Amino acid sequence: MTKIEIVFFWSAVAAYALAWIVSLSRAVFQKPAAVNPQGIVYAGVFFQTATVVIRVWESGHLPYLLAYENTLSLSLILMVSYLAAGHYSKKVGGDGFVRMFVLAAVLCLMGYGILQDTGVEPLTPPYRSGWLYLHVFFAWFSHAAYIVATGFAVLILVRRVDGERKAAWDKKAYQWILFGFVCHSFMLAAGSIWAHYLWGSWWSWDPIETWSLFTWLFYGFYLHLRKQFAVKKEILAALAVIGLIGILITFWGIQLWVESVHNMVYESGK
Amino acid sequence: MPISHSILSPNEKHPTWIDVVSSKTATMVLFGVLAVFIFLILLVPENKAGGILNGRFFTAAVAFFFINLGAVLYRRFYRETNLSRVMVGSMVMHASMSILLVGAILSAALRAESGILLTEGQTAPAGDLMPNRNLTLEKMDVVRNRRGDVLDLSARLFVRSVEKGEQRLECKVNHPARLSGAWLYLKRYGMSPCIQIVDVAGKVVFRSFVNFDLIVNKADFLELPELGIILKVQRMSKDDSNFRLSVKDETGKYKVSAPEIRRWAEFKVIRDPGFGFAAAGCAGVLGGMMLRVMPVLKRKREPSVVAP
Repeated sequence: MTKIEIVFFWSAVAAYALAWIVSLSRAVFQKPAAVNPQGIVYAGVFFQTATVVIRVWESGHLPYLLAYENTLSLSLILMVSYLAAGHYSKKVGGDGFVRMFVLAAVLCLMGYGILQDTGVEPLTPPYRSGWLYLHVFFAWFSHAAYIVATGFAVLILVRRVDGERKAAWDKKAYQWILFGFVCHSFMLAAGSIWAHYLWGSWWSWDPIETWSLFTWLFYGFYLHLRKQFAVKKEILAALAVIGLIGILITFWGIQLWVESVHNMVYESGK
Repeated sequence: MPISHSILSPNEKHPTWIDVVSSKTATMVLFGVLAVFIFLILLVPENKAGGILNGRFFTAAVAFFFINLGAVLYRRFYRETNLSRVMVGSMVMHASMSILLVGAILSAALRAESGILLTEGQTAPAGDLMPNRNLTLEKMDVVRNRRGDVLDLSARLFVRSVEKGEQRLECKVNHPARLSGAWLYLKRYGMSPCIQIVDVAGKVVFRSFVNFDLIVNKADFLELPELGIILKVQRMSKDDSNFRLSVKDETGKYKVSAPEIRRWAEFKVIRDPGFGFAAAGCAGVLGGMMLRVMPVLKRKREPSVVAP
């Protein structure tokens, strides 16, 4: 990690933390603060993008090899997804809460990442595959979409508002889960093909694979429930929150508890 | 099973490619070809059935089967009954899942694998999964950076068979070689010094290439109890070709040397008849999903109604 990368990384963290505090003060005092948190978020995204660009220049490959690189890229895509969510949901409200939720997730991700190995590692032959790039790319997008969707779902659970507004948030949560589900499907397909070309086994019931399949089925269940049955919005929101717990277990939990081929990616170079 | 139509819709003057692909004639020819393949698979011995299943012609016939099925479904359920794109997408997605499951069942039941260990210059039979073939490992190429990290790894092979004569193959990580319906994967590799032991009279008492694994382990051993010799090979850096050989000779009568150093590689031969189905199922699921989702995106682009 070069000095310039450290400066941009911590600038991004500072900007996100400041945006979170400003959003909190707005929510607590019910009054718009003098500073617009959205502007600080844009500054944070700029610093983080610079961090990613420096990382790519420094390592010579896309940032997906180590846990630090993975969380850095995922959190950037999460912020971009949040900005897209804000763009598409200006009229439905709840923007401040979703911003706080997403910023908290991004800060957790970046905090976890910086505590891991931040060294630069070259790409060894197993990781030089177009299918792996697609696998990781879609994983970032699906996880980011699920987190944004959960922001709207939590909003449904904690805010007491009229049915029309709840319906709008429920629709947003559904649309983001649908987007995440499509990306999740592409992630599973690309991962399987990569595994076939690398090991000769397109599905090995590896713990992370199995959990990823489980969460895919779970979100599939959510989508069918939402589309085919008249289920209460609160129940759907609770399911979206449970789904994110599944994603957290897949992304973080499994690698701490059991041996998995995915751990190899996070620990390579050590 | 596809239902074929040869009647054109009243508005059409010329048949489109969909009409041709889904015509009765095309369907009958396709079924005839598939029936011949199935008959052949039933006739040939079990170890050769995989060769037919993974062969180009069978793959082409199966691919054409899906094209035919898709064209027939399109004609029958979409163009002629005006089904919505959402319904077609949903149908394709769910039908493809069954193909994916067929692939999973075939992989679980029929997937077979075996291993081959070769030292550079050595020839060995490829085994039951690639019958009547001999493999020779010509050269292992390992590209490293200054730190010793492996950047590229490939094995150059020479294949001899009765039917196809001689051919050269390259097997790389992430790029398995394809040979007679089976896949050849590069699994592990290491250093293989030729260990030569000479006694006091100058007689060679031991000479053989010995495979040491210095990629996973930092040190590896060779024990020769009949000579009272223990050889220790220790990796000196990340690069396994930089190693030190130390000898523990209890008798003190022998002279140990390594006149030549080669590399060894372990290969995995895999036959997986389910992969093609799984890949086709995957493509169907994703294609159906996109069809199912696209109208949602399209609706979003429609201009909103402005109140007067």
